[in-house]
Amino acid sequence: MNEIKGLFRELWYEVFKISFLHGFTDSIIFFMVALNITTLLGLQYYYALIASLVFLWADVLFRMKRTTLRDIESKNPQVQDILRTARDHENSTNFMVLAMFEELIQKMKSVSAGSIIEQKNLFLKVLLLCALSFSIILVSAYNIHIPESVFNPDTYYKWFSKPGTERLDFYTIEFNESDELLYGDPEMADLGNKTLELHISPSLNEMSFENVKEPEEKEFERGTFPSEIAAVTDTSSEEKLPKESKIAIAYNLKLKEEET
Amino acid sequence: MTPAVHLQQVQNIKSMFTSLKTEISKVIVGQDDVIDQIVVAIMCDANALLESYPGLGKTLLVKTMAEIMDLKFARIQSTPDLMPSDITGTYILEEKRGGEKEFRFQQGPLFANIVLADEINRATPKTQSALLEAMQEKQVTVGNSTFKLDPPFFVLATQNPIDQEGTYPLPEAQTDRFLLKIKVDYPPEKDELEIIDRYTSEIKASGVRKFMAKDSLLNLQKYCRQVPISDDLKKKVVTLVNKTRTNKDLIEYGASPRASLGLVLAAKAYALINGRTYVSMDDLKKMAYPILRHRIILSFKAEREGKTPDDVITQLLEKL
Repeated sequence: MNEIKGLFRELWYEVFKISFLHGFTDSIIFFMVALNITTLLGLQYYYALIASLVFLWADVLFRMKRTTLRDIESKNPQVQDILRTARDHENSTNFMVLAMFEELIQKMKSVSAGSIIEQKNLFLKVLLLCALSFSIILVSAYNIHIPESVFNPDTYYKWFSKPGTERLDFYTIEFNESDELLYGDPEMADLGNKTLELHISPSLNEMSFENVKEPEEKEFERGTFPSEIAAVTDTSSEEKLPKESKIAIAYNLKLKEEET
Repeated sequence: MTPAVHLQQVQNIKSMFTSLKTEISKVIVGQDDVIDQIVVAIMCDANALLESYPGLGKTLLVKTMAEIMDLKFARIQSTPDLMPSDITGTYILEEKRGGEKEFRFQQGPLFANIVLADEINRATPKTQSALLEAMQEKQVTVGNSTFKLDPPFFVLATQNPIDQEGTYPLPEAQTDRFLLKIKVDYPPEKDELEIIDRYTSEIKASGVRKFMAKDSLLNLQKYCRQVPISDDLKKKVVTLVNKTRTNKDLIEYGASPRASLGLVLAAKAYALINGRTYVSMDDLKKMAYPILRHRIILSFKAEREGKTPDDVITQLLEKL
């Protein structure tokens, strides 16, 4: 009887592993889709990550609940009906039940976890993952973003509305004000087209912008620089030596002479 | 790991049933399903109604089985003038040595292990009732005395589907007492040739050997009830029997809960004789026909469409 209980524990552990495997692949797909969406929307990646973790938890839980002994039996016809019968009689100990437990233990040797995995399903998921990875690379490489107009319902409204039945402008409905109040002085709109005449009073500044001459071209001979560009030599470094340094130099020179 | 001792014993049981069938096949050609169903009835400690045309070897089959199982066999040929006391037994006045006289109970053919009630529908309802008490209660009441019948006790009754004139068809309440209604069909050509070869060349004794003691049979009946069945399958049995009551389009009167009990028990027995330690869906499907076919009364519409109870059961099983 303990063997049967152990067998069922082992079986559920296998079911958990398989559920986790499927849940994990599903949540990677979910993450990639979510990542694509967040990239397109210009959102941070961790929104996709959090959503995927929640999805993983829910998916594994759902798969664990959904997986029944009947599913395992249908994928392993050699244990058809016996698994459910054994589960229902786990605590019985009569002759036939014990014989059934022995038969089940023998038959379970031929049941592998691989038979429970939906291999075709898993293969399709891997293909989908490849496609999603490729799309993520494309979106990132070309810096593709969804334009904001996509989220503006007016964009779609215009597609389906008949000419002349366009929706009224929001501002027209809400504010019945004059154009001048809403947009300001209409002359201001022409400001950029007008010539600006700036006069600076000479009493305040000697400079008159009206008298500024155009720059003149001037030619120079090679090697001869005009006087305006002449350089002025600076004083020697010695002249700027401090007094203490000069004493030290004189003292050193005197010592040298005595040695010679 | 503990060695599979119990499983080995179940395999031995299977071998025993295989040997039983081999022995029967020395006398009866073919009819494997019929043999299986009779064995199922015996394993369930229940009664069976065999329906077939005359000359298909029903009596020979039952007699052979009784011989192999080392059981006391009795045959009742039902006729309209058959009285209950003819089958139950009666008190006779007996004179002792001293001249003293006293009534002594003379047992009738019901005091056997396997009773073959041939053409039961020819017996009067009064006699049928006496037989049915024995079938259900495993006892016989004569006058004010009740006698318990020795286990195992089975009644295998036969009836002829044709030639209904002068018969007393069993009422539904009485047919319900039979666990199985076994249909014995004509043998296929190959088997019929074998029958001709076997029974026209020379007269010889059956030569079957007895290899199952009465105690073994009682033990097997005990094991039969221990065969486990899953809750899912039990629910399916209840659903199936319920469908016979609710499907008014095809069935006028459905099966009683006795049918549910019978189906589970028969499926257990069928699993055991096939060496399985649990009941499978196939066992239920196989046993659904003999369990249900005499417990449902078809609607006028179904009869008009030429459907048989087996056709309707097939339909119900498909929807299960």
